[in-house]
Amino acid sequence: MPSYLDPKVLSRAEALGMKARQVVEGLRVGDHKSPYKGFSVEFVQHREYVPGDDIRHIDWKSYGRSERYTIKQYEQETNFLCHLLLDGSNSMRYGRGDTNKLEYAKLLTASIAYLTIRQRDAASLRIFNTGWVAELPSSSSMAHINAITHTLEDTQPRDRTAIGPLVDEVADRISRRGIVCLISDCLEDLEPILAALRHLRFRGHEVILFHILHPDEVTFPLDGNVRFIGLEGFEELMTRPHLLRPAYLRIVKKYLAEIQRGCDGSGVDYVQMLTNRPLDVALSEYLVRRLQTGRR
Amino acid sequence: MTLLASVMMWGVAAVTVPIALHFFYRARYKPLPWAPMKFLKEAIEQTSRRLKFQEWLLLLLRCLALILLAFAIARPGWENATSAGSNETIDAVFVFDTSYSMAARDGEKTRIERAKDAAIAVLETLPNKSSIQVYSCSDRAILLGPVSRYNRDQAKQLIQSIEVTSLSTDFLPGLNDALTAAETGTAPAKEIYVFSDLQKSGFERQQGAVRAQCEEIKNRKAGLIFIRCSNPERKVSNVSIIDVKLFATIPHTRTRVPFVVTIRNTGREQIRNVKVSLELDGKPVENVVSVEQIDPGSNAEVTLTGSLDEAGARLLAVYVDGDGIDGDNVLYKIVGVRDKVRVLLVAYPFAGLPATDAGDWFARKALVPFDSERDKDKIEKYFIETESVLPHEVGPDKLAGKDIVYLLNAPARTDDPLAGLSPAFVTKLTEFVKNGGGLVIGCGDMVKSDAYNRVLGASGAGLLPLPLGEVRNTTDASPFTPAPESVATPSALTPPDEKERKAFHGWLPKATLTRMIHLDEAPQGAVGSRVLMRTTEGKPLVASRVVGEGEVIFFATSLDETWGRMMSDGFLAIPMTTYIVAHLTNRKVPGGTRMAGDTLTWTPNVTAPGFELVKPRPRGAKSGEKTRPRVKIGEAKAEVGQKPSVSTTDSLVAGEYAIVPVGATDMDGITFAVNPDLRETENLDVISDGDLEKLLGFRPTIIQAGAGTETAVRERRTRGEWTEWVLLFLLLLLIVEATWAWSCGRAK
Repeated sequence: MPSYLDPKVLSRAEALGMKARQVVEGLRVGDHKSPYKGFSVEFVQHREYVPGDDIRHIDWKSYGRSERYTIKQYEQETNFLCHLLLDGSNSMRYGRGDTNKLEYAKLLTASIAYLTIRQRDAASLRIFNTGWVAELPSSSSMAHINAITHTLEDTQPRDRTAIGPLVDEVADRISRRGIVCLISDCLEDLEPILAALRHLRFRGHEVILFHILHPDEVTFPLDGNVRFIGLEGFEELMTRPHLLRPAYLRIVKKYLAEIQRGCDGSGVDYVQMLTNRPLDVALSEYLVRRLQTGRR
Repeated sequence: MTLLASVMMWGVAAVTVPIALHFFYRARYKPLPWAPMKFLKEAIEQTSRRLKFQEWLLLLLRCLALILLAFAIARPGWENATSAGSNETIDAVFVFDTSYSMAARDGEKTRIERAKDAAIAVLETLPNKSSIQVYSCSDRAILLGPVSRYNRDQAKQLIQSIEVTSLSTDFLPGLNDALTAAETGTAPAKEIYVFSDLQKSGFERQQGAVRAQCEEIKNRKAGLIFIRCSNPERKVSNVSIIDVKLFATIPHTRTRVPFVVTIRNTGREQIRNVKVSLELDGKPVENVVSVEQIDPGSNAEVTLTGSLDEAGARLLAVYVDGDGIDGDNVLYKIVGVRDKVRVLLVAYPFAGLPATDAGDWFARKALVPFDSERDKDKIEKYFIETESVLPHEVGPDKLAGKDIVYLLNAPARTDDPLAGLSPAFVTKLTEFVKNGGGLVIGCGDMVKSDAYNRVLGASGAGLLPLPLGEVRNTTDASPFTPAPESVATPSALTPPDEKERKAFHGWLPKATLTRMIHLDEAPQGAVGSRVLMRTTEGKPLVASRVVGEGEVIFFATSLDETWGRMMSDGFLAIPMTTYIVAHLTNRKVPGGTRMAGDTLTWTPNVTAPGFELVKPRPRGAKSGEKTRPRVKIGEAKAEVGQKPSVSTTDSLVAGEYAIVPVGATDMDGITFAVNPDLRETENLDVISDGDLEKLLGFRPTIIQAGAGTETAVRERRTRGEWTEWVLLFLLLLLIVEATWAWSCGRAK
């Protein structure tokens, strides 16, 4: 099994499934409802025949009863397309071992991809910093899992990030609606990010923002004299962090509240992922919550 | 304010450390790559003003703490606090006043005993590794030791062995040497202790210099501590022996001589029952005389009579008893007692009558005032013998055994080889005078100025006090008259006491003169020349010149009646001649009377490999002990043109001293009587603290010797310092700093 597929994570998440909460357009009949009514197993309604309709779909039984040409419509189950957008910028470098933000995000990405493909849906992967670092087209084959994990393994954090423009670009490029999972620490100006997310939503995508944060970034538990070296090009700052903690926490709290509010306002699923929490727990919690709030 | 260890203020430079740390020392900051820098930046922006204020305040407090620490180590104190801290090593110099007032017993102990006790107590207060040097100081300072300045045991022994001298107090030499000694030490602190009764006179003798030296000590950051060793509650009574006089102008054997002793109460209290005694050569000459009372500041005279049995230099010693200071209770005098005084009269006798026309008649009569016919026995027994000889007949051999030579109208030799004094005689006469003989020259018609100047003047024998000029004449109506007020004092014409002086001066104006030789004062006078008496018009009448060890007395008129009445009246001629003879013979008294500390010099006639100073018997020695301590003083040394002589100043204690060749008996040399320096007890007042402050210009540390000396010295060392207060303030500052730092570190 590829390294980014943790059996423990997958076993817990698999049971819950990665289901599209919204009705999304699918390429094939699958687990997901399609907004397009078709001619499939699940009957939905009759409608009158209009010239142009395929005569193969005329419900002759109904014509026998009513002598009117009707066409039988069925609910079509489609497979959905999951777009995974992973932030590979330098700010994701923070944290050691299991709590490293990028590693955590890679694990999360691989897990979602696996879950998606496993249920015969298609998943695509895009890794970005200031531009696109790697792009894998969507596919639902199991072999695609390997391609995704290998791509993830090869990804190293570098450069700054430009979430807003890139997500905007994605919104323009994806014609078919699906689920867009943005996995990032979102450490840049919030307004472009939220604007891009709103753009995605406007295009009809279901958007989930996995906000990857290291616990240090939230609780700021540092002491002593520290020379902070900016991971994304900020100058160095020498200070005694314990003296700044109250102000820092106030700022972080405000930021998180703002991002939460922005996501809520535009119908984006905001999922805060602290890297010190076991991924299986965090992911299954989210999936449970998703199940509870979703239609299916 | 002053800093006792000002060099430590360099420690203030340590404030650069926190400043450097604050600004430059970044290594202490742990590097941490950080993602959400914008939050951090925002947090810093929000808190930077408060943080900066806190940090600057902390920096300020820390710098202040370091400055205070350096300040404390530099030992700040009041300006006069020039003392060592309680544990700092000290270069201590002990200056002991060894003037004889320190022997005063003004309580259970004498002052010097109190000084010694106080010194031992001060010694105990000195921290380990402190050095100590001990000086004695009277009118001179002498380093007593110890050999190693760190040897305290030796210092203690030295202190215990200190004895008073017969000198007077003068603090200047002691203070000078003490400062020099203190500065040769390596300890950071210097302390000069003066153990003294603090007599006013000791400060006032060289007041300006003492003040300047004390200022210098203060400026050099050395502590100056006066340990007052007198008892402030008790005054000391004192009687000084001012003088002793013989009622014999020329002491000679076979006479009983009255000695008049003058004593003075120099204290502030009346003294009763003062006992005065007299010894001649160590033998009491009369029973003790008691003076019932002497008021403060007043003198009393006591007359004691003694027999002069032996010729030579006799030691006279007067003692008093019954006062508080022993040092000046003795007065010594060397008296030259003569068996005979032999006088050679060189003059032209007059063959005819009257006898007074003889050139030597008046002088001989003045010397031996007896009738030549009636008092032949007396003349034979009289202590003055005369021999008369003609000028052209007198030979050098005539000078043998003579004490005084009179040249009376004796012509100097001119072209006539049969007239006047022979060159051989003149040569011998010069040698005679140089060896201590006396020469009296009287003028007359035979005395020619040119010849005298040539033969006896500066170009000849060098005996004339002044060059002779022309003969000046006047009439009986307006004679030349001696001016009594012009008589030089002391001189060969000085009467021994006031009574005689009045009589002598009363008779002088009657000695009218009609002729005299002008003495030329214009040229630079010869060495040792001076005018002893002038006429009323200011012209030199009598002049003298010291030649070698002898002296020449020159009368510018005749010593007979040819030129005036100088010798005509026995009431004038006899005393005047006696004074002259006494003066000239006393020049030959070996040794003499000196004051303690004076240089004792002897020009010996014998050659010896070395000489010794025979000192008085130490105090407490048995009088029967014949052996007196001796100190070698080396060989006789001669300066250019002088005879070899030996000298010493090791005469600090009053008593009988002698300089003798090595190994010779005490009597084979020269004897000196050394007396105490009476300036010491002229004013017994001790200086008050206020007066001392006024005199020195600042308030020195004055500690009363006694039980509390040690405590007082220890307290003094710490009293003037602020170190402890500065350290306390530093502690408070550190508490404030720590509290502030803690407060700043709290999350807000």
